[in-house]
Amino acid sequence: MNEISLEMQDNTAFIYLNDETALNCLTLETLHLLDECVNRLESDISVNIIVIKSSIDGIFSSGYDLNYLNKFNQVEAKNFSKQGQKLIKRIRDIKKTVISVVNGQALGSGFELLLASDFIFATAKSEFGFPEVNYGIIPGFGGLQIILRQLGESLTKYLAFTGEKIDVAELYNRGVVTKIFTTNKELDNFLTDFIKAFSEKSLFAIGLAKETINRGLEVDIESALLIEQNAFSVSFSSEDKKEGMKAFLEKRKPIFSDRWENFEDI
Amino acid sequence: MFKSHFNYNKDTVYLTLVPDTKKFNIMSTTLIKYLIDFINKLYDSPVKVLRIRGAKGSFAVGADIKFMHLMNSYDAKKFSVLGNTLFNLLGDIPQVVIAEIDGYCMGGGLDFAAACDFRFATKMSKFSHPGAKLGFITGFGGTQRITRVMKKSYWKHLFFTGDVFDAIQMQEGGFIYETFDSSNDMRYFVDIFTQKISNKQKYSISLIKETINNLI
Repeated sequence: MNEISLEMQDNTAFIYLNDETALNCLTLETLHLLDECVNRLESDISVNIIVIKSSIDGIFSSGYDLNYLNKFNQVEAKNFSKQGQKLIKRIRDIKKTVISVVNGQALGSGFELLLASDFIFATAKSEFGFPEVNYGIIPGFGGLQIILRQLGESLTKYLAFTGEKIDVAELYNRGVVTKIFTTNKELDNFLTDFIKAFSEKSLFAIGLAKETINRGLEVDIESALLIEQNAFSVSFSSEDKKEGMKAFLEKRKPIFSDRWENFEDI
Repeated sequence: MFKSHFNYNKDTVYLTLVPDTKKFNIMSTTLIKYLIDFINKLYDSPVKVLRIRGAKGSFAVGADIKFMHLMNSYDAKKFSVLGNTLFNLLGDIPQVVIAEIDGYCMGGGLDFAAACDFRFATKMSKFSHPGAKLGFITGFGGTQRITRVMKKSYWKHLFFTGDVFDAIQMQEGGFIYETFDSSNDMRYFVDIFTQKISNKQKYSISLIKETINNLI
């Protein structure tokens, strides 16, 4: 069966996690498929935005398939962790916006995948957690490092040491989850409007902002400010800047055209 | 354009970049994309060492100035992203990457060599980073990578003046590991050097590379 599937709606790519037998526990195979898929979408000029969803009702990912993980020796485990981190790094590095949609459980590696995305939209029944400690292991895809920067030391340790689930309201209050919805329907409607609003924005400027923010988090403030200065000055030579400012002065809607994908046109 | 030859033995891949219509190997978008593709395929292969060399008097001479002359900063940013993708990949792959330089190694070509694990050169080779002479700085990571492998006064001299260095100066500066009188001498030496790596276990070599690269 196909662990993941891709569906295009206008300029939005929906990646569905479909692995019903494993309840979307991420395997090496799934990681490869996701990595290839995101890599392809990055250079696909018809894609403006990427949404990751589960097609299993009530489960985004149940975390770990212990029968699968139990077969790994330490070298295989390191490779598994590396492949997971590669995917998470790719999602953070691409210049396109990645949204994860959660309606239910998002545990372990699935939770880590979520944390890599730019926005998390979740329904009220969603719950999250790192159950790894219950099996004598720890999270390995980089999710701990990402959430550490958002939640701070003590709550991150609490989640990692206890394996307890954390509910969506708590994560929303702490800024990890972007928005909560009472029903799936409400979430879908919001997502449609959100994507529509996005299609009118400068994708070049968004990519530049994503890069500046993600990199800025990793370096000291002086370097971060330098990154921002340079990105700001780059934006001033884009067509999008000319069009955006001109449209504002002419009191009309801008039509943006700059893209990150195409290196042939330079 | 360019041509490339490569051949494998069990443990080693030899990649030779040959300038086609132009006199020297130019770091064009076509060449960079070709290399990204080539190196991505090596990633999971059993190969332990990648040896890269130029031909016809150059390793690589950087980007085409006529091409860059037409760029605004928006284009330049994208070009820089492309170059960085390649050079980050050279640091990330589990293979040990060796640059064998015989001839000109300039600008982006110098950044290219700096992203390899080892640099060997013939004494006829010439090195420079001419950005300062032309009014720009490199966007391929050279200001970060070269400064991490060279002694401070050497890289400052290189970047601030745009002067041409010979292989001995570059060796003194810490950039070149060993210099040779002829390309045959270099090849012979690197053959033996490569064997010492390729008779080790691939996984442990890649772990060492990863660990060290994360430190610097």
